[in-house]
Amino acid sequence: MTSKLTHKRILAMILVIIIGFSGGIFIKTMLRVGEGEDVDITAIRQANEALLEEKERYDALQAQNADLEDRKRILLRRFEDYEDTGGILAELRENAWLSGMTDVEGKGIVLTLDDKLDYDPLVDPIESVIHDSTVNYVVNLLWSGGARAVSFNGVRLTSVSEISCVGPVILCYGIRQMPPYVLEAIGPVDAMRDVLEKDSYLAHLTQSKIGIRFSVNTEEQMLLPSFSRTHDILPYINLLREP
Amino acid sequence: MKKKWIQYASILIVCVFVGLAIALLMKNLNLINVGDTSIQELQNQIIDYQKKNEDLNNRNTRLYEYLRELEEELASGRGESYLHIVEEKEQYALFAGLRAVKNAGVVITMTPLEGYQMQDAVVRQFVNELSALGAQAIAVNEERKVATTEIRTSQDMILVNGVSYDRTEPFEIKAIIDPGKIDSYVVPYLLSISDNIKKQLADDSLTIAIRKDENVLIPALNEDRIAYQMELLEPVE
Repeated sequence: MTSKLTHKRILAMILVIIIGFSGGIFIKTMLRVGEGEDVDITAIRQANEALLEEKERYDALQAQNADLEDRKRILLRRFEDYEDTGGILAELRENAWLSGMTDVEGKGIVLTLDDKLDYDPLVDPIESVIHDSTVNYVVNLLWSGGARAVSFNGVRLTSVSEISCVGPVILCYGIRQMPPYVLEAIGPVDAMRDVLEKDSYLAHLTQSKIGIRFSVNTEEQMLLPSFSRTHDILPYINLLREP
Repeated sequence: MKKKWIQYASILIVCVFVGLAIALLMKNLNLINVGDTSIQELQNQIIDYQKKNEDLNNRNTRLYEYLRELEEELASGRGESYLHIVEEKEQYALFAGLRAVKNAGVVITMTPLEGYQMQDAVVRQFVNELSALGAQAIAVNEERKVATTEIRTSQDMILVNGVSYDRTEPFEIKAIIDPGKIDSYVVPYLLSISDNIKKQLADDSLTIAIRKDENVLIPALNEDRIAYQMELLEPVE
């Protein structure tokens, strides 16, 4: 009899907790629905899931791209057995090299650019944030210093390097880039460092009043990815006709 | 009896509060889990990844088709694949700026007035704007812009691909660009850039003329330019 009573009490307690729980959700929903918070949380969660899916797809596509490029290399090597394709293949490799369509290795520098720490648009000058013109300026300095290959935030720069901005956001080939901005350059290290260190505009940007954060590190061996690791070239040459 | 009811009522109230507390706690955990990234930022990131995925997917699809053709050819003998390799080689040459090209585009002519010396920053600004507008080929004074092109002042000269141009002479920038956008967007935009540059410089500095050209001819990169010197790079095999 006592045991039966205890069971009933436990059941009643669970029931009451469930009622309380439901009531809590109901009250919370009623209180917040006007502010749209539930809608936001659901939307953010869905967006996070969608982003994760896209990231996973990107990783899978990159892995697939690496496999295909490896297979291509192996297949092209087999064509070398044919007598008259050797010259064409050599030319293909040189053109791929010159166009940024092959991974390259070499000694170089890694340069990091970042906005002023705790940038305040009401107090700090507009130069305290990195603009597309700042990135283009530094890229031009690197070429002046003899850089042979440059990548911007992991994307290889080519003859049609599109570094632009929409509002405060810097785009590279139409893809948004976030600070810190990393430029990797293979080339004559001393000459490149020299050009950067002696540049008066960079010195101006990095003074404490402007506050652009800037660092340069030397790498004995670095690998810059082919443009084909991230993009297809056809949309960048489809307007070009031979005379 | 009364005491018993008070006990039941107390338990009831406590349980209701426990339930409420659990519900509120779960809500707060939900808030923490979604992080502090705004929905707008997340949507932008999704769009970025979608674009990246689309580009890479297109590249992989073409590469897959190309490999299939090579494999078929290797299995059956010779012929078409040879042409595919040549086609790919020519695409790379076009992309690298190793071939002369033509199509509709724009021509920007900057003429320094008496006593004014052209600034490299002005030339660079137009070149960068054209790149951002999607120009597929650009030349400065008949010098093809390639990946390694630098534009910089050296005393009375401006160097482009290591070639010197007198700063008191006119500079001409030519670009091949989407014909569908030239009249509606490209030329008006470049004119606004031109106005901004003129405002920054003194009135008697330079004249800037911008025109559409149906037949812009952009030369190939000259073979003695620095871009051909690849001795510091090792291709990854």
